[in-house]
Amino acid sequence: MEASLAIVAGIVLTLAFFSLLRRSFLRLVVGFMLLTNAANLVIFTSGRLTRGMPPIVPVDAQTIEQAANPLPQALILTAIVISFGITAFAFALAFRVYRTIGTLDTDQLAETETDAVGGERARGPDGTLSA
Amino acid sequence: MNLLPVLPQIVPLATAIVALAVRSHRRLQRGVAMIGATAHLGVAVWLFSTIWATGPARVQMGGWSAPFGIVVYADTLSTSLVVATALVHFAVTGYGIAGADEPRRRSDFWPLANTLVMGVQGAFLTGDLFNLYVWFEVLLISSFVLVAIGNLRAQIEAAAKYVVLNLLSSAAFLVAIALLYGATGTLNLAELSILLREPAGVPMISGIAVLFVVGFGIKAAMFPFGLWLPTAYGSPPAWLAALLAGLLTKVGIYTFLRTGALLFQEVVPWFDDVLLLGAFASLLVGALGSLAQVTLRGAVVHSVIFAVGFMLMGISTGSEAGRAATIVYLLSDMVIITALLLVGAEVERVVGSDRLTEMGGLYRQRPLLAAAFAATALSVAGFPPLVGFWGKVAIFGAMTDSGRWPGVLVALAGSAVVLATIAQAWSLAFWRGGSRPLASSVSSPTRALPIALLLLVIAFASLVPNPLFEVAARASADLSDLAAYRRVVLE
Repeated sequence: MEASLAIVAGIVLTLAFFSLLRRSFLRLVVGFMLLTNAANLVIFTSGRLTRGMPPIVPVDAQTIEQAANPLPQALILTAIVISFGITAFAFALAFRVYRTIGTLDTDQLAETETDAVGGERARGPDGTLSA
Repeated sequence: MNLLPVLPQIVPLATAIVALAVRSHRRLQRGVAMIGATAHLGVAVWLFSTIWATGPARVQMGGWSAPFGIVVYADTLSTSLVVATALVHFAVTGYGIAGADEPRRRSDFWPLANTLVMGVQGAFLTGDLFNLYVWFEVLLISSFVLVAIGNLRAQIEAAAKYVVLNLLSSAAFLVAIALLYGATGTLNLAELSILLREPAGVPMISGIAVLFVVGFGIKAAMFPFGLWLPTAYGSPPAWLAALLAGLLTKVGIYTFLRTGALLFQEVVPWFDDVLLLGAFASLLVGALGSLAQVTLRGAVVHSVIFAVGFMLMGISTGSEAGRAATIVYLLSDMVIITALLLVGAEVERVVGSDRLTEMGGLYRQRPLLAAAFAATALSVAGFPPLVGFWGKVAIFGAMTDSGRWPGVLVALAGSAVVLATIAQAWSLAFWRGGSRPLASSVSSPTRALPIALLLLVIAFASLVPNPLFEVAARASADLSDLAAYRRVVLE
């Protein structure tokens, strides 16, 4: 069970990096969704996986030997909520990139690199230097 | 249970909630932000003085004892950083309530600034790796939005790069946490520090450490992972960049300090060497990048990478003296870089441009501003007797003591380049005659006061550096005494 999930996590991670290396910002966001899911799978696998053994300690015992550890699953819940929020933000940002720059090609996001930070700065509607 | 160590997180959270509730009343919202920042500074100083008097303390959240529950741990290192963070927050809020431009007045700027600070304080005060990850996300999500507010092309481009690289860092951090939990069964830093030093060792620890170094390296802007920094700090308004530059990379440096001492140094043999190489590269890239800039802000934000190099060099010594020197540098750099960017914000506002070629004549027309720039900029370069000099001398001392004197030469070369940058900026913006009239002639006391406060702190630490060194020595002792850390957390 652990071995097969580890392999699945590896495959998802590969796909994530493939997506991350594409030039479209949207694919990049998809890559991130895959990346966080792969990370969650790794957490899931790290907590030992057993079928049909609820992690409930019997009344007369201190520990149970074989059951899956529920703590990593609690960690995943937190990580899922965080990645959900970040994915939503990343999609909103992708939309903003498209609206402001007119393209989702990440190679076109290089204008501010040309003279490091400044160069011709955009001016705000009231004509003040805004950045 | 004494909840004092949690208060530096609670106060900004409460401020953020109240500021969000009154978001349609902008004047009220600014008042709430200022009151919140003042209360935050008060709570931070209270916590520091309590911990200074009583020694390290911990709070078990929800009453679950360690290593099962989440631990909030406060020692001299955490609490001194909490005070510096609160000071930066206070100064930037003070400047911002008068100096904020329209996009940042209209939007939910103040709630976000407060959640950012809450994340920073949480990261300083936690004793648990997963909790550290959560606080990192809190501060990152806030900073993502802060960089992007205003929707200028430069900001959107910067935000895209900043978001992508920092999400990569979070993913690396998360996978590292998963593997470490799989190998040890705990994420409590105190328990991990015991398990990692057992003779049998932990499987895959080298690979896990690689993921941590990548994750923290991106956050700390260590070369080659720090290339998101110049655009992310260069595109929002300078006074907002002061908040980001004063706090964000410093959290990365703090995690290197803390996890280095507790988990990796002495356990992972290559850890110090990789940090040292990253330090050299950051020093030189930061210094040379700074020299190549045509804007004042560009030069300043590249000097942040230079400072990161210096601090990583101090951490890589792995000695208690080296850590103390790094803490001196870290605490002073938080105040210096914030002050420098606030001064830079005033310069940009007065001149109406941030290009050095368009500046001039400021020395004659704005002598106080010129003096403030000289004091903060020369501090960054480490010009004696300013406070930046003391931090650098301490790191040089620790480097030569640990036999790494070639590093001192690299650092001296970097400092010389930064000094040349400052000389160039000084002669272009301040010293030469002005060719064009200044855009704005009004200087408001509300904007000047926060800068004056930070300058006062810098002046005090420059002339009387002993208290700073005393705090850093105690912080380093708390950091390096693993037995005490375990006793406080696990007893």
